[in-house]
Amino acid sequence: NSSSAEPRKRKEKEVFQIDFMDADNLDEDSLFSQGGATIYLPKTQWKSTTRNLLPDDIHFSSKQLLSLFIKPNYIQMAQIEMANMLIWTKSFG
Amino acid sequence: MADPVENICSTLPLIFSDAQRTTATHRKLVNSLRSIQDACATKHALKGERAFNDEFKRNFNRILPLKKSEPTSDRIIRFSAAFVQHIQKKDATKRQDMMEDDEDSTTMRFVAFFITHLLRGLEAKEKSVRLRVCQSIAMVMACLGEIDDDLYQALLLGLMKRVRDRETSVRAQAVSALARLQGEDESGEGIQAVLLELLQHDPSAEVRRAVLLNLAQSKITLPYLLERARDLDAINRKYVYSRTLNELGDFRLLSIGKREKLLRWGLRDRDAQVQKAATNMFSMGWIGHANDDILELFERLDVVNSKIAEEAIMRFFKTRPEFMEGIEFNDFIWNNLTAESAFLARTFNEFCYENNQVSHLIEDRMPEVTELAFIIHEYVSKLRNSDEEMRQEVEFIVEQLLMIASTMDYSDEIGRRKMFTILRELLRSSDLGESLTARTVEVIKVITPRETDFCQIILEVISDLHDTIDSITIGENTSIPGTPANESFHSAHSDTSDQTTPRTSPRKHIARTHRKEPESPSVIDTGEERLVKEIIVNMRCLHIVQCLLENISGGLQYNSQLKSILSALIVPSVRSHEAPVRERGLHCLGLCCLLDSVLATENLMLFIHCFHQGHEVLQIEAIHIISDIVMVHADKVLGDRSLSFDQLVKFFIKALSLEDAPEVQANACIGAAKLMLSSVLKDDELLETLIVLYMEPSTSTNLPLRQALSYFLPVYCHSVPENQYRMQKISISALHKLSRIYSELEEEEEMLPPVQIAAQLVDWTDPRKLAAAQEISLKYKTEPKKMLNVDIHLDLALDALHQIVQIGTKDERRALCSILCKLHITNECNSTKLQKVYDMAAEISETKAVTDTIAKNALARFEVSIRKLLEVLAGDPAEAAE
Repeated sequence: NSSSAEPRKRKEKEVFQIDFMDADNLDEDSLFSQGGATIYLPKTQWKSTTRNLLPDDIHFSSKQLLSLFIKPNYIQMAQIEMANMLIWTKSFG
Repeated sequence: MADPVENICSTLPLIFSDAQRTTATHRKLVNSLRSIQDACATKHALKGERAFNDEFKRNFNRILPLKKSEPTSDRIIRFSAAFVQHIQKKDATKRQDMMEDDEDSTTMRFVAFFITHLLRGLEAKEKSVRLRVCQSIAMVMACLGEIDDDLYQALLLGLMKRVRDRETSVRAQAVSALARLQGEDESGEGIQAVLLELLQHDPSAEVRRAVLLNLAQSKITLPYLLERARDLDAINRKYVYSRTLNELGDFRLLSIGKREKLLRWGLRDRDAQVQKAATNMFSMGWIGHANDDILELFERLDVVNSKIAEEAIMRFFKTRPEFMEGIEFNDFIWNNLTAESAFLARTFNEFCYENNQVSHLIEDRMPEVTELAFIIHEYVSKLRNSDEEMRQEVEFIVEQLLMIASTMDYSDEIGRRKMFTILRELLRSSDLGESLTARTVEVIKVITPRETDFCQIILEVISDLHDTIDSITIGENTSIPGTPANESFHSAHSDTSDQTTPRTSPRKHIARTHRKEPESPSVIDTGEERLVKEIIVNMRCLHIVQCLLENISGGLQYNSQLKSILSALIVPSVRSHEAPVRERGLHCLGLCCLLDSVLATENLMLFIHCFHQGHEVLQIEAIHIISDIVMVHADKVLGDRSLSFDQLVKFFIKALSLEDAPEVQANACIGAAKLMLSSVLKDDELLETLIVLYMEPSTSTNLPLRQALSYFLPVYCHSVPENQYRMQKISISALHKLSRIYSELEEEEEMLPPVQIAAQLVDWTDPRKLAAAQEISLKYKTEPKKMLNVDIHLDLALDALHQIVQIGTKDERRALCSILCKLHITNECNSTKLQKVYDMAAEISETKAVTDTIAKNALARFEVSIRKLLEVLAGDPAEAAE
């Protein structure tokens, strides 16, 4: 899994330090120069139609594909084979 | 000693230098800084203070332009906040000692100076400056005492703007700063309103989280905070359980409905972390608030109606198994069961039954079979004597006891007999509710190992019940044409084939009699009364038959008793004029069909007919029955004699098209999916219909359909090579249809753009995904590994190229080109086909049929990549031959 290996490979970041002793003076006018209208989130993104909520989870699972509608506790042999197939496919997907 | 002001240019930078390295020395540094500040102020009064402030500011400014990820800035900001906190505390102590109320001290002046300075940067062009300023304000606010009203107003105004910043991290810091201003005065309401809006609408999960963690809980805000239990972001959902609900403390402040919802959402969340947080909340927090008493906790969950209490208690047992040892069930409890204690006993038993480590507890805590039989008997008598109010609870208790009974060991013959007698009596009682009936039949099945014995027992009960209809007929009304003797259950011997001959049922006569003799009220009264009684008895008989049929698997042909119930009860019910009887009859007929392919063959058309003529519920029933029959008997029931494959496909396509009946669509979708997955149905048109349905805007609110398909489609394509090829065959055509729908989209309709649909199609047809799934399945066999469907993407490319030169929308053409760039085509592919694809791509570029720049570039890139593959193949003939 590449995502877990990545941070280990990355070499130790050099510790960044400000040299406060160099008596450098930042120009406050340029530091605080105004951003105007560009620093705002576009108004179209102020409202979300879904209120950023998940849709209702129906919890669809292999069980619904493998069982019969009107006799839910009854399992056929062919369905056991199919169950294995579903497990393999899902474990990859 | 040197002048503190003259030295300030070296002393302060030194302190800042140290402070940026680690927070460990901050306390010491804060003290040193305070000494310098004091010295400056003592020696040079206001002039000294100003010099200190300017030098502080000069050093502080240095961290403002730093990038978000630099810990240096964070440390300096923490240090500055710590300094503010420290000097305010000093001031407070001094004020107490001196008993004076100095409004204007060195400290006050510094704080005002610092905040005024920060305010200058709130609207800076540089995002890092805005971020650092907001972060500083949030930190300082956390330890701030009173501040000047003008400053407060300026802060409020500035922060209100910053919560709408373009940058996510700026908004998040502004939110935590703003949250600290809550409740100061009436402007608090304005702040709360803004924060609540951000909590629901901010596009960033980080900002919503900042509100979730900082907004003060109140009657008004709590519903908004709890709503985040369904936030799009898993971490936010987790915090609702681990923080918000934890801070709330006593869960009794929530309504029962809210408790149920929160448990359901949390325990069934797709994210493991959220589940864990919800489990902890229940097993640690809630049980604690119920004085560690599970029964008390149950009383607050409404176990009788709860859909989640069972899952919750199972998680509880799992996380805190030590609790189980302490749970006892003595005689007093068994004799005085409540809904809660019965539920506890049942779930306790079930958990022990399923978990080996605690299975030894069963013997110790649960009664023996004979005892349990007596207990059930006792509560069944109670059920008969209970009024309407009590009834629901006693029914619930009996149900829990029956569930315990279904896990018992029946090797003890005396106990088994006792249980059997009691259960048979229970099943005979005419007023037994449906769920108890089903449970009773299940337990009888458990204690009767042979299926023929089990059938006989249940059928005897049904026959006795059914006979009571005759007694109604004879005893109460003679003016109605008598029931033919052969309609009685006992004498019916018609076999399964005669049910297609029309027959007049006694119920039909009754209905006619009503219409003909309206002038004779006395007859109507007795007639109606009889009719109602008859319907009730019939419904009950049919329900028991249904329970029976759900529990058996043997063939119908070898079971003469079952055959007779089919002709005497089920078939007449199917023809009944009473809709409930007819529908239940159909359901039972469907169950019989599952046991017998001949019967199924004869009746498939009847169910198709029900679908076309019936209302929505009946349509769904028909879909269920037809799908199940084909699932069980497969091609044995399809063909010339009954329903052809084509008819079956048409049936599904018709059902899938019923836009106004989303439930019918969803059920048809699941039915078709099952049959396609088991390779009974292999049809291109049906698959294409499903793809279009999955993507088109009309189904966007049909969650059951969408979620079923999003589970089914990848499984279908990545499991069987043939299925994936079917998907490839219809991909371009489906894309074409969907592109057209996309181009005609109404304003309020939402749909994935064709480019994204194309990406999805490429994924479903990716041969690597298929291969990986196949590889896992072959792991334990020794078959050689080989690439399956190796040319599938090449074929898809061919189809896409054909379609590119057709007239289509711009979106469609771009989608087609985007497909070309994502395909998995290697030198293992068929070289003749590769050449063909190359020639075609080259021809399209040459004729300049494609004018769109994006499309043209994509095509050119594709051409180059195929040419390279062809060169590789030409250079290495051995590899090409492989």
